[in-house]
Amino acid sequence: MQNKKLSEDEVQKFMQGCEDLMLLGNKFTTSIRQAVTDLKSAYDPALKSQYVDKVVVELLTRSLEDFEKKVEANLEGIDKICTKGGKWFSFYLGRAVEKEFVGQPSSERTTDLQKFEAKREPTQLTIHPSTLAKKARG
Amino acid sequence: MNINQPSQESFDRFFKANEELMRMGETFSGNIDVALDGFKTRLEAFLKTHFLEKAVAEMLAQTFSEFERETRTNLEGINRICTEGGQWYAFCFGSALGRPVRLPASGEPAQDLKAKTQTASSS
Repeated sequence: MQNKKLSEDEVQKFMQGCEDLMLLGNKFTTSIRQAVTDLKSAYDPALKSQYVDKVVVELLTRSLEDFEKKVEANLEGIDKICTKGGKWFSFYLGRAVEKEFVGQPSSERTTDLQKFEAKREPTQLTIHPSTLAKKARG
Repeated sequence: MNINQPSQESFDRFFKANEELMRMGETFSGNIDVALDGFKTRLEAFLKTHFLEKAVAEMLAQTFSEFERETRTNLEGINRICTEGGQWYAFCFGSALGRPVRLPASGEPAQDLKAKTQTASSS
């Protein structure tokens, strides 16, 4: 257990870390989307060829479509967590830090806090767990 | 701009929401993992039949294997963001509030995850 309050410098670093993490999350989802696209473009010519039985083509195409739909629905959820969730973390952390500094007369602190851009409330708080989960189940 | 100071209750709600969001992230990546397993099972069954040429079957199997490796590496990254990242949020947020919080087990989450991205994009 740790009971020490964060310094402003640590908070700055953490905010940067948050942003990096969320960008990484977006990068991971983009990579998965790209991998699905690559898989499809490799499979398409093979399935259109005469070397695969028509029934197999149909079944495989359907399986692939089904799989793609499920992946996309879940990636969408992860994307939302990474974009909107990240903004909310910053927002709340900024407010928590601001709260800590209330009563301290230093004007430098106030200026520093403005750098966090965390007082700006994210435009939407529409990550409703039930909606996302329903969507992701496909 | 919102300049109202949040109440302790709203911070507690935030902690709860943080936990839920991270758990949802894990569920989503778990769902993709399950979908991948399902597709793999069906694909393998097709590839074992003699309704497609051997060369085509080999090509499809190889392509899928690359796809699977790439997807699982990236899913692992997402999972770590949701598990370790979530713990770090809670830790830093709690520290900012001066609450006693448990330090996450791993040292530097961001650096560790950066290495994963490189692996993911290079494969």
